[in-house]
Amino acid sequence: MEPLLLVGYGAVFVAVIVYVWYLRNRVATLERKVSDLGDESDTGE
Amino acid sequence: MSTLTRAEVTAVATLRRLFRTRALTYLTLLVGVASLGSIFGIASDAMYGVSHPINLIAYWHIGLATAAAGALTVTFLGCVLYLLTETDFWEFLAHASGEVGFLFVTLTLVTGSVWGRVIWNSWWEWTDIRLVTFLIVWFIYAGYLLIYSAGGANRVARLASAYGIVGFVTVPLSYVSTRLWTPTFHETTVGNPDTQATVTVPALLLSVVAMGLLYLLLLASRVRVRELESRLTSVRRAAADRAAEPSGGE
Repeated sequence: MEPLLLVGYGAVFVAVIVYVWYLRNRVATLERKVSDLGDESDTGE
Repeated sequence: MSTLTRAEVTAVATLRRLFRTRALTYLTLLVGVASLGSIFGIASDAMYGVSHPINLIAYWHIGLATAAAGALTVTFLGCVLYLLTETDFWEFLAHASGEVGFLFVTLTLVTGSVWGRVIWNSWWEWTDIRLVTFLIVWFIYAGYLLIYSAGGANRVARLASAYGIVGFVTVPLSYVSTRLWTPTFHETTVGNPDTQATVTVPALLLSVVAMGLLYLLLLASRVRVRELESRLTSVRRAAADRAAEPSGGE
């Protein structure tokens, strides 16, 4: 395969995978924080 | 409830439903794989009179550029709606779409540069009006994201929205630049009977759909992040207010 074709598609894949991974991680962290704070306020802490 | 408000509530609810559907993930994966299959299976690598495998990068390059234009248009609409209604959702949508659009603009520049290295024998050409105007778009939206990085206050959101509206002028300008000025490398393709950019239309359409779906998937996650951040701030503020209240009987 043409090396620069691999570089071009590779750049797209790496950028998309890293961004999706970052977003998924951020959503999971924020959901946990919101849920923890919700529990604390329910128990009156 | 006024007609505008009812329409707005319906629009927000519909978008939220769309963003939460799991089918969007599977559909994006399916169409993405089909797009790659069509590019490396049926698409012709002959373009502009040159037959070379690097021409296959054009299919995602054009798809990314189209999705970027769509994303930045959504940012513009989100900015307008936020300034009109002050509904947080439109601000989240505008910012999220601006961030994803910026990523797509960056990838369009990278894939275009790689393509140009082989076909034009140059990574970058300052004489090409489409390249230069597209780089201006990149700088404009880098500025938009920088304004947001200053913080999430209402004043910042209003300033960023006004900037998002004015800055959007560069997007259609970049797309019509090859008609307004003499292009050196990018020729006008849509509506130009003399175009030499021979592409395999089904592969190109599939890549445009794949990039559109990828945009929606990323947008959905980014909007969710903004909504959760906002909820977290509200919950923390409420907890701080409760803690500051003097307790009864003491």
